[in-house]
Amino acid sequence: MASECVVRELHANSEPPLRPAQCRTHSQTLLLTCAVITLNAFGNLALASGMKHRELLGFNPLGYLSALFDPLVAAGVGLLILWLLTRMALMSWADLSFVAPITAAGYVLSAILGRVFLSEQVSLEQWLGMALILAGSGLVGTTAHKTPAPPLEQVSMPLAGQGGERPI
Amino acid sequence: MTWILLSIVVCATVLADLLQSREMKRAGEQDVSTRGLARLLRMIAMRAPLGLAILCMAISFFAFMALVQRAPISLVVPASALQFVVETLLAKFLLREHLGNRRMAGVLLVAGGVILLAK
Repeated sequence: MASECVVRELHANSEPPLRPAQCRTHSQTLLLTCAVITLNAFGNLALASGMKHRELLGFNPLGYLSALFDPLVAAGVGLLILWLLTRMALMSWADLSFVAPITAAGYVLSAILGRVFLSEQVSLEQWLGMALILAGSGLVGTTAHKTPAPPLEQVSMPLAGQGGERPI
Repeated sequence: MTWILLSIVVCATVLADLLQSREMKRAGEQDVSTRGLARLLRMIAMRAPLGLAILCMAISFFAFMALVQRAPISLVVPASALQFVVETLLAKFLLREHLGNRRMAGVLLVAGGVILLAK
């Protein structure tokens, strides 16, 4: 299925390509979303556990540089770079209003990982909040992940108020 | 100072996401293979709006760090809930995305959940 996608080579001076046909299925999109969420949560976890036993960072850039030699911190940074790139790819497949709320499920995973690995406490309200986030991102996950592209020649606004019913 | 930092965090994050989303939609659907990811890395270097988006993310990150040293986390996290709502609305008006009722309800649930998580 992915082979049907035209992979366009980018040249520095080429024009932006026309809007491509949608070729990623909804389940492929959800799968990549899960990968993005997992990378973010584990990246944050590695970074947090690597930084926990270090002194507070100020404006000294050397402090940041030496932190990078900590294996856990380095792993965290690597995972977060992967997270950034996969999230960019996800944004090329799906709407921002789909990606932003659904990846908030990462907060839940982060809180659970924090509880398991860093033995942080989770209160009743926080469990409730996590349930709400999961319900919300689940709901967003059931919506179509991409707004269909308008016909290329059409530049005007969609039919708002043209012969349609107007709310009074 | 807290409020300035807070608005820097929210504005920079929202701007970064809007720029990324706009650029990535124009670029077309990208691969997530090793080569695809390397290509994305090159795109950041070649396309100014993507570079600007990364810069905004960095600004937001450091402002966030400065913020959590000054303000209680119960103020900081609800601000990131606000960010989802703002982003979704701007996606509708600036990026012309279609927001159904279900998606809007989902966004509000997530925002409420993030606020509770901060307690």
